[in-house]
Amino acid sequence: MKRAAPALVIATLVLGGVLGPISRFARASGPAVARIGRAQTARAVTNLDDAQACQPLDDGRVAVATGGGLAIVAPDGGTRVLTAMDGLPGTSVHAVAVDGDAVWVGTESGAALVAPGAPKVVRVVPMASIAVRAILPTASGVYLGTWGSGVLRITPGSVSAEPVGGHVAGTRVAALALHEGSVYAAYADGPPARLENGGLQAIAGAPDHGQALASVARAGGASLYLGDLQGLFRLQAGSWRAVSTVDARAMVESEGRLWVGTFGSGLLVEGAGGAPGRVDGVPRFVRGVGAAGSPDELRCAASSEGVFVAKGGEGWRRLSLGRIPSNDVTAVAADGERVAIGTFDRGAALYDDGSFRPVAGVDPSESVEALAWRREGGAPTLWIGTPHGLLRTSADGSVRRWGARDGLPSSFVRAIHVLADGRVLAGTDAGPAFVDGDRVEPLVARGVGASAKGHAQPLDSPMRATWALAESVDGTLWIGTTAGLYYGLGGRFQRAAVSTGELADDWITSLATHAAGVFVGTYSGGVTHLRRAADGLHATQLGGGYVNPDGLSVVGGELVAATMDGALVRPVDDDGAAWRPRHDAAPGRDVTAVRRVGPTTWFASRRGIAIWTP
Amino acid sequence: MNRSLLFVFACGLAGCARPPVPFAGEVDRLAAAVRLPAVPAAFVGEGSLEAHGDKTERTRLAIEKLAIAAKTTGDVADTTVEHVFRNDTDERLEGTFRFPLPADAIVTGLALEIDGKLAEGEFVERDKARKTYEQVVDQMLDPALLEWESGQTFKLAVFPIEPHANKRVVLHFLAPLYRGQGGLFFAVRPPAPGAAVPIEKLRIDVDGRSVDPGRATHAPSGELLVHVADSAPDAVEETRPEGKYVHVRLDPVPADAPVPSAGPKAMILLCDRSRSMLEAGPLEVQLASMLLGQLGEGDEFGVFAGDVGVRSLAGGLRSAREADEREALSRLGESEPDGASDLGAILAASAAAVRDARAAHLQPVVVYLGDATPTWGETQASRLERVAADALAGAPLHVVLMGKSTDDATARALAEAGHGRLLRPKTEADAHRAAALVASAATARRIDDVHLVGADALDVPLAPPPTVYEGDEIGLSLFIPSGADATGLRIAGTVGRRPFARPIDLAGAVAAPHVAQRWATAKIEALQRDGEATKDRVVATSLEHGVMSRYTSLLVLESEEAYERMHIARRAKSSSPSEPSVSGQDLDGAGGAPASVSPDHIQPGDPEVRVDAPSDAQSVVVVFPFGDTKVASFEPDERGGAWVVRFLVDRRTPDGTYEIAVRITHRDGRVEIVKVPYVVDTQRPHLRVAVTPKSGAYEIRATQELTPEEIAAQAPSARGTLEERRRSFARVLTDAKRVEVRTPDGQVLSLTHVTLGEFLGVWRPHAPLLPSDRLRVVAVDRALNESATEVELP
Repeated sequence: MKRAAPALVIATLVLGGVLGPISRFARASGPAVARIGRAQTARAVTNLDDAQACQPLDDGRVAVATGGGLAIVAPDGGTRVLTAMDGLPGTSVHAVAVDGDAVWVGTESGAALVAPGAPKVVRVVPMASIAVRAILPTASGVYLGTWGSGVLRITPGSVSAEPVGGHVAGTRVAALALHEGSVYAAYADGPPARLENGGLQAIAGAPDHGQALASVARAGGASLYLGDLQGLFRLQAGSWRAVSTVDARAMVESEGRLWVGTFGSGLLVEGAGGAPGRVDGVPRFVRGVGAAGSPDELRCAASSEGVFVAKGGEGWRRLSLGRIPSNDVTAVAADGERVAIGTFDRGAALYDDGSFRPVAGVDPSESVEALAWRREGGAPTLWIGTPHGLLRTSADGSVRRWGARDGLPSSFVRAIHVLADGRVLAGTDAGPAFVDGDRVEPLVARGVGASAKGHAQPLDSPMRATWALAESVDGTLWIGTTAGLYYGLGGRFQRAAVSTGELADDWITSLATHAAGVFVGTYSGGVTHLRRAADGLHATQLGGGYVNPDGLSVVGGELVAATMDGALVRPVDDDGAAWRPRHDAAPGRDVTAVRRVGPTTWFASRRGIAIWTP
Repeated sequence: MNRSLLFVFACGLAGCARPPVPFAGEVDRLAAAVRLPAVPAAFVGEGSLEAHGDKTERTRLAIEKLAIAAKTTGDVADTTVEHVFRNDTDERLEGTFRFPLPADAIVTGLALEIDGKLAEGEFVERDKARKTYEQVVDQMLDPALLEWESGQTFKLAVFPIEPHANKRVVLHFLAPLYRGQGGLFFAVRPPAPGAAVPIEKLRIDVDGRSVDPGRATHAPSGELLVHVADSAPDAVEETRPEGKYVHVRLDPVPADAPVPSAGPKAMILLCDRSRSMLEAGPLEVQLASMLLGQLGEGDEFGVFAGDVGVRSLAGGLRSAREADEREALSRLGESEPDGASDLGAILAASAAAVRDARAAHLQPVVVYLGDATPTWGETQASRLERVAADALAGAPLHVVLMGKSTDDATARALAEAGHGRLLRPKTEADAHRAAALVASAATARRIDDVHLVGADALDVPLAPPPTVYEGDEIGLSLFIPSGADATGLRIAGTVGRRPFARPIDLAGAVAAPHVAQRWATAKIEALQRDGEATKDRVVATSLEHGVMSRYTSLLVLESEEAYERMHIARRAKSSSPSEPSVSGQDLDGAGGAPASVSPDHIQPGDPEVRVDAPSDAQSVVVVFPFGDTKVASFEPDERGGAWVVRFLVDRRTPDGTYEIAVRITHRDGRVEIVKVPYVVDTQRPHLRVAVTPKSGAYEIRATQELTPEEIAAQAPSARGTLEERRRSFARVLTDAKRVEVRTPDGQVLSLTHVTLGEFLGVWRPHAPLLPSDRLRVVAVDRALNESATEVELP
């Protein structure tokens, strides 16, 4: 869950009275530790190297906006993290701005004020669930740059944020800056604008894919810079002059010089003659830059490879925040207490002794679609489904990859299931196949429709995109495709689909067998419970919305569905019961997997993992 | 006897020794007045699909749509011709698609609709392609194979063509533009009256502009002409890592060259009367008449007709007397074209006539009339060149190319070997002009012994012809390897027995795409002259540059995975980078092309962005409309690779069209920004279902109807009534891809996708029906949105 429900916001506002205000905007404080029923505590594990923005604090710490929450990093490296589970509107944080002794935070779902000491959320701005990408505290109020709703302003003493009107083309605010006493806004979908007489006025003739703004004091007056997808521009005599073609993403003035974080050219700093030079020790792709106002300037640069800091004239060093490779966790596989996670964009990792390490032999940028453990002679092997093939990794670091060239119907592997006889069944974009040792044998279906030419019709054949696999105790195979469910023994299959009346959606994303039946999770039609009987399948529609791939699991007598709108739980044997939502079970609303690991339960999401301990 | 022969006889009976030119003057005046190309010698037209089935005799299928799209650069048009054929029969058919290419066109690609998706073909060595094709057919899949048939004609085996369904075939080729007095033109042959496609089903798009066939300008010879530029650069170039490819156009004969003198001549006509000349036979007789009409006092002539054998129709050389000419022409007209073509035999047959001419102190002038497509005896171009050289013994050989299936390469080789002209008349007016050019060749200003100087370090596959006549333009394709110097390149020869040389200026060459492919085609033509001996090099060149040859075929398999399974490497088919695209087809798996149509319709999920930027680009950064930025990584593959990122479309994303910005920073620092649209579509397809009883069965016809919500979500600015908006956006937004029907007796029917948005099937109940029985109709669209409706029975 990314945002506190309205009832919770009201509650925290009331409870806020027990805390002394730490800012003129402080109204409330939120709980630092999430706690839900059954006396469990949760620990959020997110990727903090996915840094979006950063801002040094006066006490030498650095506030880092990351895809995995707000990190407050002390000079000794000690890190405290806030996520949606701690009351932030969203776990993915885009912007930070210091305001007195507090820090404003812009997240994917709204803005909040944080007391950095504890740290804790002291106020959530009541607003629609929209991304806040820029924050500018000023004497006249705090300006929020939103993605889709333009600029909002919180005036001192006010609880809510009000839209700032005017004549502008864009709605996606990428940056805000104060220049010569006026507020300027850069839009990703229109020219920048200046706040005049209470309204925003677009500046004609400007680039229209803005990303960054900064005002730099000069001897002859301040200069306003605009970072745009097309390059870096300076406002001069009412018109924008191109300074460079760099992809300028973030800017800050420090020691009277302009520092520019770029995508592709790293961190640039204005040299003595005005020409920018590249700073050593910072990666090529920089998303954010920040600087403290103290004489002993602490600077920071946020990148997808972590946050980098430098003090005064010292060299830049990386703050190691890490934890998991990516917040976008797509798969979790557990073998006893051995856990592997797969991510959408950063390969796979193993959980080992309280920390995560990359799976040897897997490309660090690989996209993982499916994971499964298999015991081979007592030794565990990890099977990984990717868009580029099926991988088997062994404990000794050796990797074997199968693709279409090796006989798989397609190299795009979306599902893996280890069968009772030890074979691996892989679901690919062109149908399922068995992997037995090194041999690959595509699953050939009989009993479904055949054309006059004799070949299986794609519509009536499992030989198409296979997203889910399962096996019943009696050996029945269940194959979930984008065109319905195929089930059978010995290669003879039958089909259940919307047209045959059993399913609510033909796009099957997940399967979980239980007793004599199977739970079928679908893309948008919720879950169907299919029970086999002498006269065929009996279907019960359980609802449940949008079930993620491999999102169904039976945990402790309960059926758990990982859906795009959170985790849902119900008794496994009671089709008449209602789903119980567990919205706050993970750092992200979009829950991708729920697994029992020893005494703990793991909730994986697109915003990291939560590990729940009794 | 046909109408053209009547013309010959009418002329002869009227006693006109010199055939009149009934239209030529008028045509020329018209052409000059509207500043049109006088002789658009080739054009883009339509192909045909002949099909048959168990109960269906071989028949030519109707064309539902013919869409021609051309993107012009320099003096060529990157052309895509899409045919949609309609099977009106009740059975599945097998067919053969044939398409006559314009002269000098270069086949670069083929796509075929398989299972509702357009599958792009791949160049494969001919034997391997055939073997793979048969192997895949044995596995009961649906491949397709485009093979060279003869000359400029290629044939494609197409199976299956489902009953009451359409079949789409898309051919890609480079076609030359035609130079006329008003500039450069793209020429299209309009469908003839009674053709398989009526003109209202013809769509022409040139450089993004739609051309109305009914309002377009017509050439004197009937083609639609689309003016694309006032001029084209004389030299174009394409730079690649291995070097630079250049195509240069020359008009080298100096205006002050001396005019050669000529004495009496003996015109020896070699007339191809093989079966492939059936359609062009009348024009051939007409042209022969016109050629003989150019002869004067003291000249002689001979006429030879050839197919598998050679016959002298004038009994050796005869004086150019009217009666003798008439007799020979009459015999030529009476010889119905039939049988194979032994080109070597008819060339050899000219030897005796050439000797006789010289013995009579006449200048022999040999003219070949035919398609230059040898199908009997010697077929190898380089050997035919030797046969011609031996027979001619220095006499000029002019080649007048005509017929449905011409072999331009062989014709060019023979004309060059014979120091003659190569002409391609199509109409009567063209024929008059061609006859005049042949007859005047002996007294035309020219350069002899033409050759290149300073080309040692270059690869020039086709040298310039040894004799270039005034008014002739020659095109040269060159490859300049990296580090090689081409500044001293000159064209040289003799003019009036004096040495002649002129520099070839490449400095002004303009960068253009497809130049490497044009060079490769010249290379292949040169190599193919030596037949099978150079096959490996031909294949390698063809595959490397993505152009067709006699030894390569275009194989279409159903999916990328199928290519991988059959161990067929996928290569970049074009030298130019294509637009990036967003693919959502991975959602449904097999058959999804990596670069799919744009905008794609996707449900929230994880589509992929592919950007065909150069692999050595500094960075490719993709900025998404929801604010995220991702750095693409280059993924090499057998098609050359692309910059790829995958992204997540959140489930709460509203329907609509979105735009991704791609910033490409090239190796040299140049920045390019490209916008890529994609469509988020979560609207369920809405069907109108009609059920009609038909002799114990029911015809079920389901038609997708766009809903106001769909139109509003994806085309929010659309105006007009619902029906008007439906009509406007039907082609863009209609996206149902399959329809299933569950019948009361338990059958599940899959309706056939007949045409865009329309599905058809026949249900024969297996059990008696009850009044309350309903059909359950389920439709799925491209984004996998699904709808289910209950339909009452009539």
